[in-house]
Amino acid sequence: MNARRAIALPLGAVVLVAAVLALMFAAGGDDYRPSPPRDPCQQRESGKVAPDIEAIAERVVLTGTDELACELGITRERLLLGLASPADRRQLAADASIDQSGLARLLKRSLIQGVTRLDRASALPKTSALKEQIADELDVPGIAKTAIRNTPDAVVDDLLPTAGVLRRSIDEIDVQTLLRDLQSADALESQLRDAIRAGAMEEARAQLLDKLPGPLQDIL
Amino acid sequence: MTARAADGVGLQSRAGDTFEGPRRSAVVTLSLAVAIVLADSAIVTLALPSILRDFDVEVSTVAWVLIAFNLVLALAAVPAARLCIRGNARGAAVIGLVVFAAASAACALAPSFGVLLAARIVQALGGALVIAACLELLVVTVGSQTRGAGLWASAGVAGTAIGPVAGGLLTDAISWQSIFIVQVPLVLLALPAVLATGRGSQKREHSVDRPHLAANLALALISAALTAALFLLVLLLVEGWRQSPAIAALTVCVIPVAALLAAPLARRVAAGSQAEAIAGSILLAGGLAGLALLPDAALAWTVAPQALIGFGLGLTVDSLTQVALRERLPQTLHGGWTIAARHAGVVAGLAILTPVFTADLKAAEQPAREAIAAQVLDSRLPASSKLALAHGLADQLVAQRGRVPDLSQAFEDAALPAAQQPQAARLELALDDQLERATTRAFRDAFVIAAAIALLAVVPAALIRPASEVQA
Repeated sequence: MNARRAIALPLGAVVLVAAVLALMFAAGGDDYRPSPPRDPCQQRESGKVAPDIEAIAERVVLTGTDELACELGITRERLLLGLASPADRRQLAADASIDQSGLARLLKRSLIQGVTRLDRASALPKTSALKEQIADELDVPGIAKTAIRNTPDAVVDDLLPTAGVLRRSIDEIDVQTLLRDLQSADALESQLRDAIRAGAMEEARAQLLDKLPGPLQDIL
Repeated sequence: MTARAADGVGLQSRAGDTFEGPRRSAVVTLSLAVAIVLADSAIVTLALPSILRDFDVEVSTVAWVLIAFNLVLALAAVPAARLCIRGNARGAAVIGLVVFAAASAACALAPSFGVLLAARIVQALGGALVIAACLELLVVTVGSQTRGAGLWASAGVAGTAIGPVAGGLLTDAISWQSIFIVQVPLVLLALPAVLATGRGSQKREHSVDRPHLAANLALALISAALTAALFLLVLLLVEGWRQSPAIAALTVCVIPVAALLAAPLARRVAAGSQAEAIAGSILLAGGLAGLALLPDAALAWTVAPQALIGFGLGLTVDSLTQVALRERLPQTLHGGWTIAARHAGVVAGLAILTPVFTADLKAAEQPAREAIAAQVLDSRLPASSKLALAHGLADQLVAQRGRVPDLSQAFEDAALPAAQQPQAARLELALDDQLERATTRAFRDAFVIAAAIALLAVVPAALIRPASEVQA
């Protein structure tokens, strides 16, 4: 009787432990870990970007960094966090067997590829959808703002194809200097975004004002 | 020297004794003193995060508040027991109680981390005298070696189990210093009982039995694993899941409640010390493995593993202590060996597990940062708001210097417009979820190692001879 109890108690303990562990496993205890960042080589959401210059620039930066991260075989988050630190930047470049200026060139090329990817997915809004914002934000006299607002959509879209404007804006960015002067991880995304936005606005200003009637151009 | 039935009272009577008048009061206050000293082994566990913040030290440094006490207690327990046997237990108890009380007050008033550590060391020296002397005095008071040892062992289990809960509640209600202040009058309550008791056992000239190796080894392994249960679980709840010490204390209540339920259950089943020790080790290992497999940061998920740990504690420590003392003389010396084994186990547990989980916590930083960055980048907030949040979150991560950050401050500082608040609230929840996942995962290896240590205790537990064989 006592011997049976001496065996039953440890056996009962084993059964109890097995039941609890089975419950924990069944509830997903083995998978409770931070969500792994997405594979940058996989296409993310392909919804249309909101007709807002800041939102477009942000999507371009994120898609472009996805392109570069995919090429380097790391996550987008690791790339964005790593580009901000000189030591991590050197490591990233070394891992890719290139120097830091090569890394900057790769980043610029990836941003342009990002624009192409978004353009092919028809995710970029037409520039005519941004007419109001462009008119509001351009530092030009009120009469010119009115003229921009009244320019036919077809003319605006013909003059300023979104993807083209973005590509040319990216071309103008000195990525190497930007990377060198970077102060923090979150600054990279914002500085690239601001640079793209500034480039796009400058081109909009030049192209649209150039098409205004001659007398109006003289006045301005 | 073998089989010396000192008083013929069976072990089964260990928790069911009744005493009257002054004898009862002496038993209560002496048991309370033992419980308080042994509670001190883990009582500050829930206060560690507060101590860590007050003295601005690292997690691995603050662990020394526990390590120092347990290490000194482990080293001093046997010499203190020898002192009690050779000298007089009453004098040792008085000195021990006064030193312990004074050192407790010094802990509460410590102006620096160094002073706190020094006071903890002195506290442990006084505590070693108290524990050894109280075993001797409890035997004298109840007039039975077996019953005295049973009361002493039960008081130790109760103190070990209830300590962290009491410490957590006091820390939350008042401060971590209050833990030490409260101990001063409580331990001194035993002084009248000590002074009223005889000098202790008469000095006896007899040979000394060797310590019970298997029982003491099992006790050391169980204590090392139990440290993980208390120390790591509490750190996970308070630092990882951001629960208040009071909530954490109430949560870990499951362990002492289950431990207290285990004693009557063990008496009813009457399977013997060996079976109890084996079953208890398996339950403890299972509970720790359960904590390594938490599927969510909800407190409810810790209940079942904690119940297993509590049952394991209740079944093992009491029965192993009694086995270690059974039929061995001088009993006080063997009591000292059990204390030394238990607290050496605690120190070994902390020494093994602290570097493991601090390294894992550090390794979890990068995945957590990437997961947070991904959530912020993919959120539907406007880019300018993301930027404001990213600045704040980065500041929080830097400011916490390796500790788990409180991200809510970044959201408050960003002062987002009302229209963006619902989206920001969703993002904050998602970020907190990622942090909880990262920290819970970081504790996993330590819990698995602790479970393995507990399972190892099955080996020495299996070597314990059943009581029937000993009597035969």
